[in-house]
Amino acid sequence: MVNAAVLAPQEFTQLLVNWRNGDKNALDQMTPVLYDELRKLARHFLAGERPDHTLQPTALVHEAYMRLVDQHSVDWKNRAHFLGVAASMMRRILINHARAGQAAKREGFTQALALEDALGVFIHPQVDLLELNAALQQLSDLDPQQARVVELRYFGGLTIEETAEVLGISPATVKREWGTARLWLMQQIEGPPPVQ
Amino acid sequence: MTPARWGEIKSVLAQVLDTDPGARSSTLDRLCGADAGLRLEVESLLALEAKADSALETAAAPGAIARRRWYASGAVR
Repeated sequence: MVNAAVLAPQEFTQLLVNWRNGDKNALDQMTPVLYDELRKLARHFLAGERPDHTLQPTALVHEAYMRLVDQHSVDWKNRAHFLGVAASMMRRILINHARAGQAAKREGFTQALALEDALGVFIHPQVDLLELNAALQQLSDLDPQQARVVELRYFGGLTIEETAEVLGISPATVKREWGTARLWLMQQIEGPPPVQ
Repeated sequence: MTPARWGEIKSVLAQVLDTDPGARSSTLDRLCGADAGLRLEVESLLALEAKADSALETAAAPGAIARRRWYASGAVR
């Protein structure tokens, strides 16, 4: 378990590099760190401690991310790569947030309130994010590339062309993967079709 | 479902999605042949198109919203 308080920017950057090189655990380790940073920023923001009152909620995600990254040791000029990492982060943050909200509701208090306000823009998705996440995990087992397309498109907001660039596949393939994944995910969320 | 079966369903589904609504039935006939199970799977997925259009619309997805905000904030170009 990584302690956010003792993780230096270089260590966080190393995790990013490891993740880029295929170490899936690295993302698990980075997420609580980023989430913590986000909470801290949200608190400052809401307490009016920041002079920049125009800061948009989602810019917090970006700022938290940039604060944790030692920008000099990684080539961040690759925009597609940045967006690809951000998509995974965004997914983790939103799912963590949805779980925290559920727990707070269960326990009858609203500890996640500050973050909820700061992320207000996120909390009204058209689907239950936890259900979508569970379905997406199943899709990863069935078709890893297709699941990644969904992550980039849905959580990362990448266009078809950008998704193609990140994954090194053709835009036509991305379109096909996304078009068919949507229906499959919908089916998992809706439950099995009625027996005829 | 196995990855191979999903691959089969996905391939047919993608081709039908690329077909005009009026020609879908004949495309299904051609691609599924005697495999009634395959056709049933594809048809049940096609039935969810309208729902998926609204529930999983990319423009309203968290990622797209985040990026619009990032652009607005000048943080990302």
